[in-house]
Amino acid sequence: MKKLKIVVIGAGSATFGIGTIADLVASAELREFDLTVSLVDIDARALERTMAMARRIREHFGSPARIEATLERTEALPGADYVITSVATRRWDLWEKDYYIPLAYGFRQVMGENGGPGAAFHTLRSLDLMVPIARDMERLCPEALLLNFTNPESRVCLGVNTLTRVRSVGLCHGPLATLGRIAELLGRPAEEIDLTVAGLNHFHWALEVKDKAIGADLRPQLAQAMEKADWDSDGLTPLLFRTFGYLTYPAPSHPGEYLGFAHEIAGPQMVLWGIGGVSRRLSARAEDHEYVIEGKSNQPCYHLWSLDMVERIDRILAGKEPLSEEFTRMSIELAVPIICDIQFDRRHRQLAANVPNRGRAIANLPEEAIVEVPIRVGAAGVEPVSVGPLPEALAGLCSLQISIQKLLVEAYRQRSQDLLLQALVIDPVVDSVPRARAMMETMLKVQADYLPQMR
Amino acid sequence: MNKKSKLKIVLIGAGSAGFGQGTIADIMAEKALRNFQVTAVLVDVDEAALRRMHRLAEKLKEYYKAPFAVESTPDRRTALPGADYVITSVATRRWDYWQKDFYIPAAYGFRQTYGEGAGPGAAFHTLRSLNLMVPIAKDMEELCPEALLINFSNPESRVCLAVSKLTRINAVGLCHGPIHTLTRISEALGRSAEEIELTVGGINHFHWALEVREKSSGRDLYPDIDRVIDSYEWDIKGFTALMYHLFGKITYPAPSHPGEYFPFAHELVGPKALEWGIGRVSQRLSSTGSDLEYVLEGRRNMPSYELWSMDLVKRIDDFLAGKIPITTPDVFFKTDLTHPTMELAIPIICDIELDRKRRELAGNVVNHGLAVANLPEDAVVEVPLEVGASGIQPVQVGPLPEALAGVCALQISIMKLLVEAYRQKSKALLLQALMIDPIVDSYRRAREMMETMLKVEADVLPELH
Repeated sequence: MKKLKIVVIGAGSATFGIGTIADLVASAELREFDLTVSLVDIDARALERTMAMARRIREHFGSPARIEATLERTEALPGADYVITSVATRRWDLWEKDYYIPLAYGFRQVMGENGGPGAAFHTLRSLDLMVPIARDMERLCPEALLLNFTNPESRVCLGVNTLTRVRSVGLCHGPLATLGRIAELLGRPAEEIDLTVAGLNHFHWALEVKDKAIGADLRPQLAQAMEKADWDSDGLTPLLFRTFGYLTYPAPSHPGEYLGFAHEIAGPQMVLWGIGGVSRRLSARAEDHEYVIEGKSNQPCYHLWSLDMVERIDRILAGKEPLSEEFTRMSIELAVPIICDIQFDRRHRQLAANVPNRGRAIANLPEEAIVEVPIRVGAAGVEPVSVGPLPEALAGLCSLQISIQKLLVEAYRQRSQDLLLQALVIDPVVDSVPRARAMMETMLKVQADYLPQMR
Repeated sequence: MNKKSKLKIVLIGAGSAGFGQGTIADIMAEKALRNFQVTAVLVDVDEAALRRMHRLAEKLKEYYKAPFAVESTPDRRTALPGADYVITSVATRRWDYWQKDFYIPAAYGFRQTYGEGAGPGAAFHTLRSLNLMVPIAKDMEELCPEALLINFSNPESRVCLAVSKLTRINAVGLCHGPIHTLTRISEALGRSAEEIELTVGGINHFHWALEVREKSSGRDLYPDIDRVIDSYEWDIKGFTALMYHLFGKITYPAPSHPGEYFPFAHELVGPKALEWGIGRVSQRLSSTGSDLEYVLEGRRNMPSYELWSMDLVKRIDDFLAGKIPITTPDVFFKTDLTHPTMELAIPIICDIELDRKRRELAGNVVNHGLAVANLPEDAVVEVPLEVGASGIQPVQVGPLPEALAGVCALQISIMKLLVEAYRQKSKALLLQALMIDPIVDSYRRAREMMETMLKVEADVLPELH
């Protein structure tokens, strides 16, 4: 039996770690290999919890996979075929700073996660975690493929691609959410729809929507359904569809980060999602459905819901609750399907991933940019599918974001405050140089423990 | 001696006091043109202005003893057949519409610095200019398809892009912006402009001094600029120096022109259109062209730009009426009616006709061969030119610094959307161009502003649907 070693870094994360393990041990195809799953996390308690759950899930599926855990990634990486990453340090506390501190200086972000001034700092933190991981891979498993989930996805992939020789692909369930919403709008199962998205991560656009069986263009039906749909408090998704002629989703929280006019329509998504202590009622609990996520009312607080998952896991491990379906169902993520496509040379087209724009898969964006497009995956690797040009308005918006991304990667490489400031002042939500500079200095101070030292 | 070959130069918009007087003086003063049998045909739809300029042209011809023929006609289709060069500078009620371009977006909360070349007001300026210039280029296709169009009409990049996308006419867009940049740099360094080789790159009104060298030795002069960057007063707002500190290059005149491309500029430089005295709203009611109480290009004690231009008309009339001599200087710039400009139109014509193979400071041309390496090939860029009998070639300047390339790329998409909005007469594409503009932060207000502008400028805008 051929050996296959998959390293999961950031495995202590409740959602990512356990979801990925379930995908790996549930996969019938991967049973054709002598599989080793190596879990890595620097948080010993979280890693122990995930390892305990991994044993339960493996038992549940009767999987023969070998599962091991270590705090040191350099122990896990030698011999790895695939490295799956999802890493962050003090995600909620720092996200809260990414959002509220730029706001205090007058910059109206919707989410403060992947676009806008807060995201510049998120990017530097993530690069400071991910580039050293990729450098260890260069040394210890140079042939392995990196499958990254760490945000900001485009920027992390650009950093890895620009600064290391590691091959990587960036994954995000965004395009799946878009497909799901389109299926819902058309009243058809997602399996019947052929969707071609293109753009940047969290800013992809449904360029083509077709009936898989007969190839018919479903965009006219989609346009009708968009008019009739109940968008609840999401004013931005239908507005962007009307203005630019293509669907992007979920607009208030994700594409909205790239648009200077989004805040007026989408409002402070960070507050509505209940992310960070500032955003919540002090007595709020995970089961209170009083938040608004992706424009939908009556949702749980995203932050508390995530924290609650850790408690549910602890209850299962303590024998107080049975192993529920929540932890044993396959995720919708593409990491395991892509691994199988490569191992079996299936040459499948997968919905979308973030890869360098080789051969100008998107004709009017730079070749070195990281784009989110459908991919074709086989033994030779992951190749972007050519989708033609983006509509001009969207290409213009993407071009500016690509320059911001390149400046941030270069700012990280050179540890340059000057380049960071350039990236900040050309951002579409930044309208002041003195305030941008003051905000930057404050952020470099309050996040100093987790940022690279900038000069 | 061989009979001199004929050269026909048509000036459209010749009734404009500044453009007409300056270009005619350039033609009459140019010794190199005397190798040709030159006919200058003046065209303007304003017949009174055209008559005034024809009379001034005859006087300038006399003054320079130029052996050239001068004709004039209000109908460009009479003038174009046989033309070798067509020089254009056209606008309808420039000041009244500029005022609307600036103040109406402001009323909807969009803080423009200038409202001329970029930002929401400039979208309407663009549509008006395309509505004048594209029909001129189409007439050229029919009547003088081989002629070179030398355009001064603003917004320069956008007009040139439209001519390149919508017609088969060969065009170059000229602007004295790079000349100001060179002058300012030479003043800051305390050297004469002739000693300096400047390489600009970017888009019109957003060009950056990528290289500044000593002509004789090739030495990089940026270290010298760095030494005087904070002591020399580039502009009273310190914006030019700030741009240098941020992006490492000089751009000029930063408060009014490059400032239009940055949403953060308004906070730093304020409402330039107001400070320049553009439009009646911006002026003291009793203000005249000789009052020096305005701020132009970041310099205090300047005349109102609008009133100064009107004053030029009055000086021409006074001269033609025999009240003042032709050599009477203006109150501020101290130049008189015989004064040639520093514009490149006539030098470029001579470069081509005499195959001089010269490098000219800069012009706006299609980015053939990726002259600016990291901007699209079909964009119109402002770069140095190599000019000879075979035509005009952009000089390769390499890539722009990444931040500036990103800002330019977005602007190029806005330009393409506006040209396409004009071609399709599409409100939907105009709205897209407005929505992706970096200073537009509201969909609702952008739509309402667009509707108001389409109404208040309806007389001169193409009809959009």
